[in-house]
Amino acid sequence: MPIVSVRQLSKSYGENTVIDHLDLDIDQSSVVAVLGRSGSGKSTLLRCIGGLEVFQTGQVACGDQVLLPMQAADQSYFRNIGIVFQHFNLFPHLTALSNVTIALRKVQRLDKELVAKRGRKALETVGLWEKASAYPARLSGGQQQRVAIARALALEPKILLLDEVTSALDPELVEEVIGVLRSLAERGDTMLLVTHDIRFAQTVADHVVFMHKGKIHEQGKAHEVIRQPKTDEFAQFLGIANKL
Amino acid sequence: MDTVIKYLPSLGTSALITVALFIVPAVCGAVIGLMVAIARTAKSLLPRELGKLFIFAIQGTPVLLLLLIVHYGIATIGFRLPPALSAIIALTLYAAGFLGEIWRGAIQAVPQTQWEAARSLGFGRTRALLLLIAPQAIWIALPATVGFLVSLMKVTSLAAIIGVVELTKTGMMIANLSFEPMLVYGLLGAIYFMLCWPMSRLSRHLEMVQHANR
Amino acid sequence: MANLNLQFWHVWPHMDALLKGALLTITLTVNASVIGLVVSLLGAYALMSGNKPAATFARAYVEVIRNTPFLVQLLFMYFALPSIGIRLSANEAALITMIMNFTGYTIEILRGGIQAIPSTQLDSAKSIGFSKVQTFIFVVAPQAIRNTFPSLTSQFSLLLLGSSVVSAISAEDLTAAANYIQSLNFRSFEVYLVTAGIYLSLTALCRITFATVWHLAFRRWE
Repeated sequence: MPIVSVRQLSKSYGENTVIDHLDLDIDQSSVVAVLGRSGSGKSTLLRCIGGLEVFQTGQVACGDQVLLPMQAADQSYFRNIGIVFQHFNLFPHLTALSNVTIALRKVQRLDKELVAKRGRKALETVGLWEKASAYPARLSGGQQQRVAIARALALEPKILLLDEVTSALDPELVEEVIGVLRSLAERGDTMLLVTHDIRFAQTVADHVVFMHKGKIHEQGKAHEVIRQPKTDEFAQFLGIANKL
Repeated sequence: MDTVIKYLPSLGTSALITVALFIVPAVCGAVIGLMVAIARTAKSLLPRELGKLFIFAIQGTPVLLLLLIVHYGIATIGFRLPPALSAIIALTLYAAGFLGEIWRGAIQAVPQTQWEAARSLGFGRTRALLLLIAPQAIWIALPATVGFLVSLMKVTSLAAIIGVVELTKTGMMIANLSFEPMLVYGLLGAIYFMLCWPMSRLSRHLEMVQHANR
Repeated sequence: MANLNLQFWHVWPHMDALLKGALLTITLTVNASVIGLVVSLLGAYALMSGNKPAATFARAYVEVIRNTPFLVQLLFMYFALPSIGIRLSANEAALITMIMNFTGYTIEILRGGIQAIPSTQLDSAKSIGFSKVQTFIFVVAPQAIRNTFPSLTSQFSLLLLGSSVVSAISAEDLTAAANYIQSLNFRSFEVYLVTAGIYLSLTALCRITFATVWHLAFRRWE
């Protein structure tokens, strides 16, 4: 049973069609990387699945919740997902631990002990428990992103959505984030990553989806599909990246 | 000189009136201003436009005229208010009109991505505003808010024109009685300076702190 | 209870008096801001110069203006100065106090605008043989004004509205005209409301004028 099921999803901004009748299934414990150029629609796809964008046609099912066209996501939809953003989006006036636990306290209204336990677990998973009382301004980019991951993990979501999470980081900070995601993959977390970084996709994902102009052009097992692209567009995308 | 010294106590009493004309409008104006700021960032059109109209009216009218409209104007339509009350009402409207705009700007200065992060964690609009956006907006708004309070303190002097016996009015009376306008108005200026300068310093300090943290 | 019988037509016959007052308001504001602009450019220069006494004087000037009420400054100019022999008419006192008040804020604004000019500009000016004065007039001042245009125009609007206080020393501005009219027909609410409307229109007019000036004069510098 797939955790997330996307059927015939279409989204346009005015005249511009960004996602074109897209189907996608994400199985439990799989790590799916969506590759594509800017403008291919991959971030929009993640945002639609994440309930942050309203789409025109199709359907997104996540766990027991369903998103229908032209409907804003209900608050309860966000129980099943955890989103990590490109620019971390931590709350600057809260400590790392508060950032991680605030939703548990104020939205899910869990009791203090459970909140403390989950908060600690989440920060330990990303290796930042000793920075629990630090403010985001005192943390490096990589550390901030890891706290953002902990914040999403603390919700115990069915799937983790990661939108270009290494793109805003200096190269030497990317490794620590990749390390965390790899350990999450190893313990069986379900993840959808959007990235234009092929190496990132190769290291962490087991499935790869290549998007071009709003449609899925290729998908398959990570090492197979990247080594042997079937379509011209994907080959071009990989080729250009290889030259770098 | 002796006349001036004789009237110093009355200057002290009127200083208290001035402070009252500052604190009451500051607090009431803050409450109304907050409502205006929230209205201006609301989702529906009506509160947004009403807020915009209110701010446009207050910011486009001279404060003195606000005082005159409230005091003499209301008398025309039947109510006779004591000058101090008119002054408080007019200054409250003044404060609300300016604080509302400052705070609207501060709320909108919090990056859209913060709202998004809040939403993705399951927060509804009101809770997101109260718990996550407001603290950031308050910090952003501090320098301009304190800066405005300096203006409010200075503008209390206009209450003299509608007859409130605050600092400036008393100063004018003493100047006339003592025939030493230079001394009296100089002293008056010095008193206002002492009332305003600490707030000006605070506002500048806050600005620097925020700039350094960038 | 309340007598909400508003009679705006009582204001109509006095419109010419209101417009005459508005004219003085506009004249005072324009004069004060033009002269004030020149003064504040000099003041900003003084503030930033290495010359200790000049910089300290400029700093003290700015602090005093910003922390004392306009009304008190006005009363000082009109009632206190005569005691040391300087007798100003109401309009003169109004103009001078307005200049003081304007520059108290614009000096700081322009200082920021001047600091925002890259030092490479000064190098270029030097390399073509400009003297310090020429550099200031032709290179620094125009760019500083452009950098701070929005702040300067909002100070102009504030000056326009703030000028209403000069009615307190009987300068015959718009507010004074309103005071006079309502003392004749006792319809204070209506008179002051119409006056407020005129001030609102004037500030709206300012906004349009400045937007046009920006469009015509400064926009092409991008």
